Amino acid sequence: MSQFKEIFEAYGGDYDSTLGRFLGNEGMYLRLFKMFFQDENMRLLGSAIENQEWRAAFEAAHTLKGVTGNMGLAPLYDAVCNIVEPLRLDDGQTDYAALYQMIQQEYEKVTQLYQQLTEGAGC
Amino acid sequence: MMSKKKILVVEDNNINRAMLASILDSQYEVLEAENGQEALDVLEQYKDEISLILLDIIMPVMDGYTFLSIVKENPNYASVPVIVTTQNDGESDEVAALSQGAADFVGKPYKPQIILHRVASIINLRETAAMVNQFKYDRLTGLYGKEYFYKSAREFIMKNPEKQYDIVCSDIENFKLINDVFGVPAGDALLCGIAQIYTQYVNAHGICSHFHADQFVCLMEHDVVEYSDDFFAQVNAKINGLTKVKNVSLKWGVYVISSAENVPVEQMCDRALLAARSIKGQYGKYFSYYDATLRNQLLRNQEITNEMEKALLEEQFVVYLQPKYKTTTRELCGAEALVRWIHPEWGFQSPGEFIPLFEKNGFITKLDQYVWKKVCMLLHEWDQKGLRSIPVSVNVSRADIYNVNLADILKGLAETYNLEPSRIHLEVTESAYTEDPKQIIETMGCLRDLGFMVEMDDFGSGYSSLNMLNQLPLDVLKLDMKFIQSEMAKPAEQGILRFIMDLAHWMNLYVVAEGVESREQLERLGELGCDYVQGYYLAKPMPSAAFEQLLQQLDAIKDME
Repeated sequence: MSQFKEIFEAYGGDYDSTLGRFLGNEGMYLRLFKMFFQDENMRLLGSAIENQEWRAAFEAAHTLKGVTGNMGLAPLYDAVCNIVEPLRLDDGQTDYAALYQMIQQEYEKVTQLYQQLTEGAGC
Repeated sequence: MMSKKKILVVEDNNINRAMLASILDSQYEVLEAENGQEALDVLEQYKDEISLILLDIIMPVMDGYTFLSIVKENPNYASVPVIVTTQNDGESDEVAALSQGAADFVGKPYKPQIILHRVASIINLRETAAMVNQFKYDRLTGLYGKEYFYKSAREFIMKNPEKQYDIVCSDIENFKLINDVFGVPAGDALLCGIAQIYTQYVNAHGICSHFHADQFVCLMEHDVVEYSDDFFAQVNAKINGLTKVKNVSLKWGVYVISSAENVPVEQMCDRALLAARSIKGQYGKYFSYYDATLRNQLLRNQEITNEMEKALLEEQFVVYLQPKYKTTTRELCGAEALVRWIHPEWGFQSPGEFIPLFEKNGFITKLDQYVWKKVCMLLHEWDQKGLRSIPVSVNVSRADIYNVNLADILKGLAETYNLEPSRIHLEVTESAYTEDPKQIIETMGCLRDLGFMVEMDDFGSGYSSLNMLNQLPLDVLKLDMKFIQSEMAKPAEQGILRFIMDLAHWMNLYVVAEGVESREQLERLGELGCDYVQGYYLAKPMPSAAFEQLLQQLDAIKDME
């Protein structure tokens, strides 16, 4: 399974600390990773921003931050963090659409990461 | 096998919840809930079987704060510790959660080892606290338990050095009887009522506790109430108005804490209880202060108790004999054996002090047996010397009847020393008969059948039942000295002594009058037909050697005749 580590680190994640969180169990990680794509919060964040529902946007982003943090998806996590803070402060001057776009780009990378990991693991 | 402890994970996000579950489920049984409402349903189902709740603070349907406030307000759940999971991106959530009663928090991303350790230590902490809590309060009354009271009382006194405090305690007379007659629930209701009354009196000026059974102890400021029999009589009346249990009589003991004395709280309470106990059975007496006399009494009793076994081994107990005479002829015709304690350091000890103590602690049975044996040895010795065979009375205590195989022992002694059982007179007090007539009638009846003579001691000192007198296996009625003295003070026609003499004789009993102190008394007893007399006027109790001389003189006179 050394491939897992290489792929994960090539993506920009910290293999040791992330998998430590899953008690070193890559299978468990992948199972939860799969659940990540069923998670509603990405979509909720998008629609909330579109509808300028800042409170809902904050809640979705906040949850997303927790989940991506737990999954050790560092680049996506950083992108989410960038939107959580202004949403929390509700400053009204931030270009949320741009920040969301960056999140979408990172999300796309995460999708690819998942494919690589599952192919690599022969799933 | 012990079942795993249950942890409830409340988290709306599937991934986070699955992660927490996988971290915990090697060591715990994990219950999951997606939101606050679901979590409440799970709580309702499992209640305090749940050892800990891991709660996400931001959730739809019912958020973590609402959930937390509901849980902490419900006494069924309030003791279940809650750890809040936060985002780790600001102190505000953490502070808010902790201030609403969360035990701790863990941040995201999760650190499994930290979560496991925090969970374990908080469960452990709460379990320990719950145990302490159980001891802290008495289950029945809700007052402090004994140990916790000791601890709190110490703190209370220390924190308020400018104030003076007392320890006030109470005992209920015959509480076991109350439980027995009215039932345990009624007894419990009474105790709860007393707890309430004490709490009202003491209020913020001290603390109350229920030690056990009917024992309550309070620490209170010195001048909150004025201790008097009137005051405690009022409290007693109040307590009687509480429940259907009537005629409850309480005794209070007060220990005034003096800063000059360095006495531990435990001992203060013992002293207050001792004071309460000292007035047990005294009608109209409601309270007593502890004073040094009580303590000295207790210490003295302890000293005697420490010494008694050794004293028996070293033969410090000595048999004295008080002669008994035939009223008509003044002829020596027997003796009563009385025990004297001559301690090598303390000297002559008063039987009035040690006998009641031995009766209480049970040592009396050993002492009685010792006396029986000594008396039998003396009788045997006199027989060997060819002296007149007179009978000697020995005491049989109530405890003897329960503690030993009385008949075998006495029969054995009579055989060993080759004595007719009729030479040994057994004195049993009247009060022993009235307290447990059946057992005593049976035992004494058996002894009488073996040939021993049975005497009823102290007749007239307590309640006398003529009906019972008729049923008892008796040979001799021994009249109490105080009874004789008070009867003697009355004109002959008003007294009932003659009636008692006639009754005894009608029942074929001999009558012995004890405590004859004057010539006048002796003459009067003679007129009344009393058979035998004993008392200081005739002869004091004396050592056996002196008594033996009397016996020898008696025979010498006889020989001369």
